[in-house]
Amino acid sequence: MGSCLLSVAEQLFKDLQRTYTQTKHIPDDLLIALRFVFGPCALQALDLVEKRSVKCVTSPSGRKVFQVLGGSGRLYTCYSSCHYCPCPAFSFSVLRRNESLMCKHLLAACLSQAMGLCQQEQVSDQQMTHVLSGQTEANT
Amino acid sequence: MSKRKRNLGMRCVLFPDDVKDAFRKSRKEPNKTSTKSWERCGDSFLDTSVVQNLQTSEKTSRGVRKVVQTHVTGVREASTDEPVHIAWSSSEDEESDTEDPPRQTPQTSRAHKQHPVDYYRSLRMLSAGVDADDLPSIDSDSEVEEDNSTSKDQTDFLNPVASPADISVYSSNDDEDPEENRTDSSLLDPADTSRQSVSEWVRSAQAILQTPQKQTTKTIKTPEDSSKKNRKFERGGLAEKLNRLHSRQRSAISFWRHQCNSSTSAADRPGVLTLRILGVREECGMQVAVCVRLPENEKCVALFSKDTAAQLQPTPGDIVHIYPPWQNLVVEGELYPVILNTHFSQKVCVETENAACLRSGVSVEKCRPPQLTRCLWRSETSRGSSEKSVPCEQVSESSCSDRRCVRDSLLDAVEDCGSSGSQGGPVEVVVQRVYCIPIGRSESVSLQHRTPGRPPSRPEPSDHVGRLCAVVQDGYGMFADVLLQCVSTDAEIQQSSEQLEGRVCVLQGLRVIQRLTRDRCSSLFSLIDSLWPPLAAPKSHEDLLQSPSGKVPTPSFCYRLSVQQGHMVPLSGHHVSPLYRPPVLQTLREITQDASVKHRCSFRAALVHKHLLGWNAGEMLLFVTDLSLQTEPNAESVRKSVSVCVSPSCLIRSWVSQALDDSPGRPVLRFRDAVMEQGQIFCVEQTVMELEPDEPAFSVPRPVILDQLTPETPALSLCTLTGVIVEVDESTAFSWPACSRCGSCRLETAQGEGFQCLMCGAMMDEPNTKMRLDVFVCCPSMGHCTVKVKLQQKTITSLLNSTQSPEGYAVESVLGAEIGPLSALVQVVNRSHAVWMVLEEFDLH
Repeated sequence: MGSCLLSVAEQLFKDLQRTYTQTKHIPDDLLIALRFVFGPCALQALDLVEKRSVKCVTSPSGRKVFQVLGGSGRLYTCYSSCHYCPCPAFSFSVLRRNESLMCKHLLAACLSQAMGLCQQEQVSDQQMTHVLSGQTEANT
Repeated sequence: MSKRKRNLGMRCVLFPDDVKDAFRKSRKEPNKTSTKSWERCGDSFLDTSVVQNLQTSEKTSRGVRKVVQTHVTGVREASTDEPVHIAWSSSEDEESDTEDPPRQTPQTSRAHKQHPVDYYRSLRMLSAGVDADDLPSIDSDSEVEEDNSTSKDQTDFLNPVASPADISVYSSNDDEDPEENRTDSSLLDPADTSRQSVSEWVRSAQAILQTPQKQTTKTIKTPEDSSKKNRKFERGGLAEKLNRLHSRQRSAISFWRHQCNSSTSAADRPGVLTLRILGVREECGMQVAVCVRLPENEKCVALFSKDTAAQLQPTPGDIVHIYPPWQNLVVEGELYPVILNTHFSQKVCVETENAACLRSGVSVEKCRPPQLTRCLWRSETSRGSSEKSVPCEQVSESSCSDRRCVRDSLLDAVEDCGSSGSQGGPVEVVVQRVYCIPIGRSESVSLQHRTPGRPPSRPEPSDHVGRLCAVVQDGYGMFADVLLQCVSTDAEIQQSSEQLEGRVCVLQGLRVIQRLTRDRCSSLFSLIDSLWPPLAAPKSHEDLLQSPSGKVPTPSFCYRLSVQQGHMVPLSGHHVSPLYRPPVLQTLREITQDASVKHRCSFRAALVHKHLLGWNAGEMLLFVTDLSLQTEPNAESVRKSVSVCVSPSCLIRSWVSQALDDSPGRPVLRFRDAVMEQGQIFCVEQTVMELEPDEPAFSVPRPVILDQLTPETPALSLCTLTGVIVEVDESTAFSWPACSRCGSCRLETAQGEGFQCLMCGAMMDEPNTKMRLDVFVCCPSMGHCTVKVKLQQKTITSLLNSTQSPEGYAVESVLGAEIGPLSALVQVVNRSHAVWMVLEEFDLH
């Protein structure tokens, strides 16, 4: 059987997008539901979203990457084609212990995308290569 | 340097007149008091030898300088608790002696003043955290400046007044009266408390010197996750709101837990969910329980957080009450609704405590974590779920009711398939037409859509008659030609057609075979044009532009898809979709008079004659007529009968072909979606021929009227003629025996008498005689045109009967005989030189 939790998460994002694009407001019950499904990282993710910490970086080649500025000031690169974040919290609680669905950076990226609050940035293909190969940030 | 800055600042601040006045007024007093205070101050330095020296050399300015220097150094040394020993050089005393005596008094007065002032300045400097090493040089510089200044009185006061005195002067600029007092007080106060303040001053100096270090330690941030420490969210933001909501919820939960321990809950309270747990599994820290909602007996899925699950310990068979507030979420693509926010859950104890204890030991199955490739990113253009549809084989027994995000756009479903040829769907479509193509064509099609890597499917069994196809349309007006399963009997075709046509169906597991464009596949598009515009306004994709007139143009492309058997499922009973455009029956007159180049038509007509064309199996001409052609007044261009060319690609059902062959009958046929092109009707793939019951209202009156033969009669048309035989084509005049049963000419003489047919095996004594006679007829309507008619058996017989002779038939006996009216098919027309026609008579019944 498919993952129930992931489908629930997807549905919540859909509802969030629908509500937010119409009213620019998230109802309380949706907030509670997010907290319920995603756990403690929901709070921190929301904070990251409000601080506009998520940046969607695109290049002329068509590649897309999300860069999330974490609380400690570090930039985490999340890829658009798979569910992964290089932060230690992800590797520990999601990969190793399977305790949560995602880390706050991934959740912040998902929420930002659903709410349309991603910062957009266009970089050259060469810069995108640097980003994708795990080197320093595309643009400081 | 820093001293100079301060001096500048002091200069800007100071009002020389005021200062001068202030000091003039208060000169005397501070003079006195300052010396006194200085003495007192000096007293406090009694423990150092320096101080004693200072006291002895009051008068000299240099001495004063030295005093300052020494007392500064004294400060430094005092902090280190070492006695200071300063050697006073006699040269400095000499210098001071060389100064002008008149200057001495102001200098001394200055010096007097300077003592406390300098003291305060240095104090201030120390309190500002200035390094003590700088002080001596600074002070010496200031002394030099003071000496060199022109307006000594003023500037002298200016410079050293980098002190509380200065500040106090400035601050009391508004009122002159309190100015004096203030200057007095400012000068006095430190003096009064000088005795105590020195030790304090030393201590404060120590403290000042140490504090910067403490500050640096504070600014270093720990490298740990700052989110844990930073609990401050943006005011009025979502995170703060959630924080508030969550903390409120937490306290509510703990309160509720206390409460429910004490009191017994009633299940009939409004809003309380009663669930019976069927199965529990763990997913990412949460427990997922498949349950049945007890009063409604509907299945649902409940999610329990870690701590709720630890407290509740849900196990299969338990009955759980969930108190409000809980949330019900309907997930697209999932079978059952999901219950969230189940914090207020309580197990109903139906069994004894022992059993409960036993069950607590049961471990919950942990689910495999979701794949990382399954992304929750949603692209902006996709409207529906971006999740790939699960192939039907993997779905559990509830696959038939699996409502995974049914789309309403064929384009999206086709996009899903991608270039890899994977399966797409499900898509909801309206079936506009169902037809069947003969199997030869479908084989070539199946070769096309064989995906690489897959083993080739076994060859079609020979009993397959054809392949079912359907033309479908989605809510956006987009069409697709769907290849369905192969069929072996006409009954299947009929059944499928009735089931599917006009209904809303769901396509699953579709594969894209081809993308068709108008110029490549014009016949299909002629059908699509006949279905356009749709009866209900089509929805428009958000990313496609709307035409300004509001009319959507006819589609210029469509897809050919293939779907496996059973994957095109009609929805909801026997409703015919409002978008279904059934074929509109027209009269032949309307059709033939339609001026458009190529269009689809549907009509009902009675068969007059069937003529096989060439050697092509299945290609034939059907001559048909209907009431409109027969009864309405004759126009010049409208003929009484029309020919329909049936191509081999049009599958004729068995009962239809039987009816066609059945010569005495005159079957009424319904033609659906025949193509009318340049005055000729064609039956192509999508055309469906059906037998119609002969309704009296419609039936063509017998005998069927045909046009008279004229020189303008086109080839391959029916006509009637009357005339006189003028010549006989002797080269083609034959007679031969034929089997009386099957009509075959392959006869063999059997032993003894009689003949045996080689085809059917029948025995006969007297075989039938078949004859062929082609005659040239002269028709009054034809003038000088040559008309050659191949006569029918019946006609020949009647013609020759009149002239019987045992040796055969004499041509002369036939010549001049009148024949007609005959019904004939004009086979060949040659208009090159003179009109020359070859006709074949047929039986009109």
